[in-house]
Amino acid sequence: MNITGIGHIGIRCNSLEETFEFYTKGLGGEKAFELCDEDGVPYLTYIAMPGGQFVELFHENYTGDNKPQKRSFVHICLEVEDFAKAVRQLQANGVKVTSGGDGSPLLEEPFEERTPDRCGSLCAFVTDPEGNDVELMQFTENSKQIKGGKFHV
Amino acid sequence: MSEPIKGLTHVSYFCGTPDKFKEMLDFYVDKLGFAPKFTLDFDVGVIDNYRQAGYAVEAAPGDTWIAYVEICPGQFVELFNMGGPFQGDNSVKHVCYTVEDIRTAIEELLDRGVEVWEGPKSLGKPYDLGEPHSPGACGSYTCFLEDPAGNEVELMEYTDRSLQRAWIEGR
Repeated sequence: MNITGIGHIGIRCNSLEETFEFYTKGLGGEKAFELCDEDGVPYLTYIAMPGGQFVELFHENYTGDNKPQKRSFVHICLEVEDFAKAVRQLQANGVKVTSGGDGSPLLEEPFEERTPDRCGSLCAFVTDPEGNDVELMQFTENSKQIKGGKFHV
Repeated sequence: MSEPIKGLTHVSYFCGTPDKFKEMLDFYVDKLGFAPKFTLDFDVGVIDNYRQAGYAVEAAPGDTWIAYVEICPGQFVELFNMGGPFQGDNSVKHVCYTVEDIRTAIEELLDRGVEVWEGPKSLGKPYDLGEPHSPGACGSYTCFLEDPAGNEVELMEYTDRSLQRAWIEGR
């Protein structure tokens, strides 16, 4: 199989404008292009995230309540270079940063002293206006994502 | 302003029952070819926290909680041995993986017994390698799969006309 990486995640939006603002002004993505129907009406907005991957925003509603207890999708995760700096930047962009995702407590200072999770990486979360969690992760020298570890299932 | 973020590093799914978790591992490891990277185990505290928050956990302490499988260096799918039943039509439509050569990928998937669709599975059009296939509106070749938990998976090969590639290379 010649899969080379994650290309994009496609999200349907009940709050299109807010979700667009979240991924652009909030997380630092840039509008890359739109796809339009025969009448010239956009049905899909592509947002380029740093690193050459995309978030697709479908101009399409969903009928479920998008609660994590009812869905298979848990979160997407963005790698950050400097955890504390990224958290402060996102807060400055008006994004709420939490310790564990939607409904969990706000991440508390000092961000520099955040303890790594069991995977060895520094983690925090933001949640988009649709209720999709987006994890922030800085790898450390102990990250199992880099070093690997026991694999038993 | 975008400097703090380097890129998308993983996507994660609740798999449902322990049997579904094994099916999901089979799909992402044996069918899509992602490499086992590491697992974490459940303990009592983790299970209690999830159950209190309304999540289904059938596994016991000491059983596998999370399995990370590697797509390429630094990119992963994270599978949770819990969750479900999955209900309703929710926000995330699909996750898309880039491939070098979509025909080869489709041939391999069909050989491994994976159903491959021209569009989303709900449209009911199996991918026919015998028919000429044209790129989508974005200029890229695509096909669709469905994982055992019911998540739509897209595969995409960028071409010289891909709007995605034009954007990436224009930066």
